[in-house]
Amino acid sequence: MNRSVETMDRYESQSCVPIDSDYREEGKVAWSVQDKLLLGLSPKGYLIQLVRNPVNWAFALIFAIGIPITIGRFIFGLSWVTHSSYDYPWGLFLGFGLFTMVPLSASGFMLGTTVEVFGRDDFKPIERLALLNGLLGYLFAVVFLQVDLGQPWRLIYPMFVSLGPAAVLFLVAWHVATYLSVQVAELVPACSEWMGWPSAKKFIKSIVLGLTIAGIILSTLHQGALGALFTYAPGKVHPLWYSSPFQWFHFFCSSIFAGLSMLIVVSTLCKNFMRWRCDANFLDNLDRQTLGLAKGCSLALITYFVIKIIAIAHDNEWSYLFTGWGMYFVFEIVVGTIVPMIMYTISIRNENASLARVAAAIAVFGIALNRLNTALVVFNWKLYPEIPHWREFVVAITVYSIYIVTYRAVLYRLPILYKWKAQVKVAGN
Amino acid sequence: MVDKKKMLHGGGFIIVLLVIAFGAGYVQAIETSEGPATIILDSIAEYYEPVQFDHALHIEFAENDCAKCHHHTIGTPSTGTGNCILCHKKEAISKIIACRGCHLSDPYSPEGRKVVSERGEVFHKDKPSLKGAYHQFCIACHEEVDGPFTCTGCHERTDKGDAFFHSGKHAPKHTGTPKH
Amino acid sequence: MDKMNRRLFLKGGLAGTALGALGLVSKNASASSGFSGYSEGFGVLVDLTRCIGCRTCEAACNKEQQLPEPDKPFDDFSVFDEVHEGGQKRRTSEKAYTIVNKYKVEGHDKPIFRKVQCNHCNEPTCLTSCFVNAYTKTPEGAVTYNSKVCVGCRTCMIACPFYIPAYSYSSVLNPVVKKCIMCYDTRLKFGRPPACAQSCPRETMTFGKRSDLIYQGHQRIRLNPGKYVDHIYGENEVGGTAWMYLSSVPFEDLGFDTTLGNAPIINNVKEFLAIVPMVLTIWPALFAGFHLLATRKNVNNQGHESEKK
Ligand code: SF4
Ligand code: SF4
Ligand code: SF4
Repeated sequence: MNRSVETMDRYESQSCVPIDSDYREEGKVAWSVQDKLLLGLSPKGYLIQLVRNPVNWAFALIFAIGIPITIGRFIFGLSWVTHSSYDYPWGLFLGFGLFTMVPLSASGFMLGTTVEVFGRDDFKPIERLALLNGLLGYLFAVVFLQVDLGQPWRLIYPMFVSLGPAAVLFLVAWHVATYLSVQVAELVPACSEWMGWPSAKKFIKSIVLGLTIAGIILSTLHQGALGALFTYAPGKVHPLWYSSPFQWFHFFCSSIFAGLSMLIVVSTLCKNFMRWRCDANFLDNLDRQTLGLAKGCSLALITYFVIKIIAIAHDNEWSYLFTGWGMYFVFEIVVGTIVPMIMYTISIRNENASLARVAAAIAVFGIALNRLNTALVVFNWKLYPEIPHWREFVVAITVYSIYIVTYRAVLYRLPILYKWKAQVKVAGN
Repeated sequence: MVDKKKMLHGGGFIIVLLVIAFGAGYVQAIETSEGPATIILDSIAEYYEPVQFDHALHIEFAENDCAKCHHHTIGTPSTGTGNCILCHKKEAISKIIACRGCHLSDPYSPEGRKVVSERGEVFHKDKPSLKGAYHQFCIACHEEVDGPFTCTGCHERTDKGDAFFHSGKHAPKHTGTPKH
Repeated sequence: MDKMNRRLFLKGGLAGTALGALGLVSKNASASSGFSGYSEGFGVLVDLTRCIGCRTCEAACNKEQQLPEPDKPFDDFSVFDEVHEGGQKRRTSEKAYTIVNKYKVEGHDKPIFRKVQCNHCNEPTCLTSCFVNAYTKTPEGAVTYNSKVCVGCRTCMIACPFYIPAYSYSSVLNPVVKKCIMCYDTRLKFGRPPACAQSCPRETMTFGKRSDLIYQGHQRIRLNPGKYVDHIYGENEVGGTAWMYLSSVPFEDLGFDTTLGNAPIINNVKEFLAIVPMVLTIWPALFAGFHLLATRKNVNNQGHESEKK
């Protein structure tokens, strides 16, 4: 709340409004690139706005500690930031950065499908936010991957140098790479409006259906593939979290409510802390759309829950439920699935968007819990628990903070939360 | 090779004779507790000095029962020590006494590999090499009677051997595991 | 043959679907690594009743593979009492492709030793999970690794059911996977036994054709009633391994994972691999159909502009 008030104050004191069109209000002078980058503020005004925001102080602190350590990872090697475990080759960078970020970014293809394929134009106001959430999530999943890879400069090897096409990870690599480009393309319209290049937008519009369907295919497969990766380690993941036939579906299905819930969370943050940037179209429709998303979430959650139970029944793992691990499993299911499921259902019945927002936050937590559990906590359940090195936490937090800052910077500028006002160029200008 | 030479120089005439006798599969129907007094074992002589095996002493340990070691080829064949005798009882081959006569001293060279891999009968395939036979036999007994048990209990290690084991003056300089 | 075909099929299938979806030709990819039959492959039968824990094999491997200096001399037996993370015994590491561990088993006064190294699976999960094809199962039976193409994702370490591959995390510029390669370059290629096998004074390791070794193993069990557990670990586990074990005590008492089952691990992944071509072929038609249905309703109802799309 503070933040939007502050920014609004600044805008008022400088007697200007957030940029939402090509030209200053008079319709004559075009905004310069600097104006656009600095949100229409003077450089000094922009700086003051930065410094005044307490959130930025927190980021500054994180970066002051985290950036040197992140750089250190590349100078001193992985052994400097991780425990160099042979038994736990994947730590937070993949457990959180890849396995959690990717499902939380499923919003792009979900909303793309809803709007472009099913023609639900009522979800248009939030579509771009969903696309951006998807793009940035994937982008930073790749950043996390780059931090984790032993030889990040070989990232393209699976594509062009040495192909291992029978591996699930091969599919993930190709699909994430392709899907990233699809998402970039899907966001070109927003960019082109902001930059003032209408032709790019037109071109994308013409192929948007193809892009969206490609997005669905790629997403179904790589979201599932992330789960299927664990079927390479059947004995290592605890049986309750593991299922040969259903693992891919668990991951795919949970990515649906993960992506949608993340979208609700992000839109809530925007509504509360970036109100100045949202236009009426976005704000007025938000409650209704949140409930719409909630509907999708509750359906996905129910499906997910049922398949989880079927998986346990299929492998007859009931007895595990009464062990310590079983308790933990029940905890995860109750908190991460049943509670948000019920809250979503109630919120839909009572048309209570605020409740849906709380449910979304819980669901996001639940999905992070599930992915971290599968990749780290219940992985090697027969061996010993591994708590990552503190530097690993610092690097993970730092990269995630860069993600948030980037996210915010884009939201401030591109027409994601607001509609770009089409203006006709005034003749003779 | 080197060690053979060393042995020729340093070892006495008798020893050489005895080794030749055993190495060649010296066939002699010794029914009593005689036999060579010392035998030089040098098949792994790269990392260890050749072993001067005190045969006489071991005869004493075995209470003159040659079959305790030479399983079925001399003395009273005991049961349960090898399957060879089941088929070869009546053949001249069962009169070979020296270990080397049956157990291949170098199963790992190309020629040795060939011999082993061309053995058709699975009994033959599974026959231990000379080194294996010694150590399986010797150590099993040493364990029971508290004889020397570790490598250096019987073999004096050469400098090369120390280097191989990173031991002695070749021991790692640092201690502990600088892993994290 | 059966195995071969299946893997080639999987390879071809995924390559086709992953690349095919992108309009790339996948012929090269699926042909890039052929698999030869295994029947002629070599193996090693490790008779744990013979091992006395002298660690000569560890020293031999260190020398053969030119591994870094060990932390302790190879004749230092205090390593058997080392306790690592989570109360674990020693495991293979970037400095040691093979290690010997000591076990006290109830009912046995003498300790039992177990040598650990890569088992050179018939259907190696490290290989099937690798997305840059860094691993090769050679016709001789070894599972080798090509550090030149390894990206360092470490999925193989996740996938190996025996916790074998290690990673040289400490290297900044060239961290690679470190694991036993059955002395392929220096020995196996020429039909010679691995250094560790040759060095063992007790002939704990018998080198030979895998098919012969299985026969030999069963014969040892048969001819020495009561000496061995009637099982060759690795004969069938996870589709069979080139290195196999005989033991006098139940294998689980020596830290062997006896829950792995006999099916190759890759079988677990097949459920997912099966859906890939389905999604690729059905989804486009399905969703294009949805689109037409959904937007026609709009058009009918309100003459919506999406018709123009
Ligand atoms: S060399 Fe042989 S006896 Fe010695 S530890 Fe290795 S396997 Fe065991
Ligand atoms: S034991 Fe592990 S590393 Fe060795 S071949 Fe099998 S899966 Fe690969
Ligand atoms: S086979 Fe070769 S690389 Fe593997 S453990 Fe033995 S000596 Fe080392």
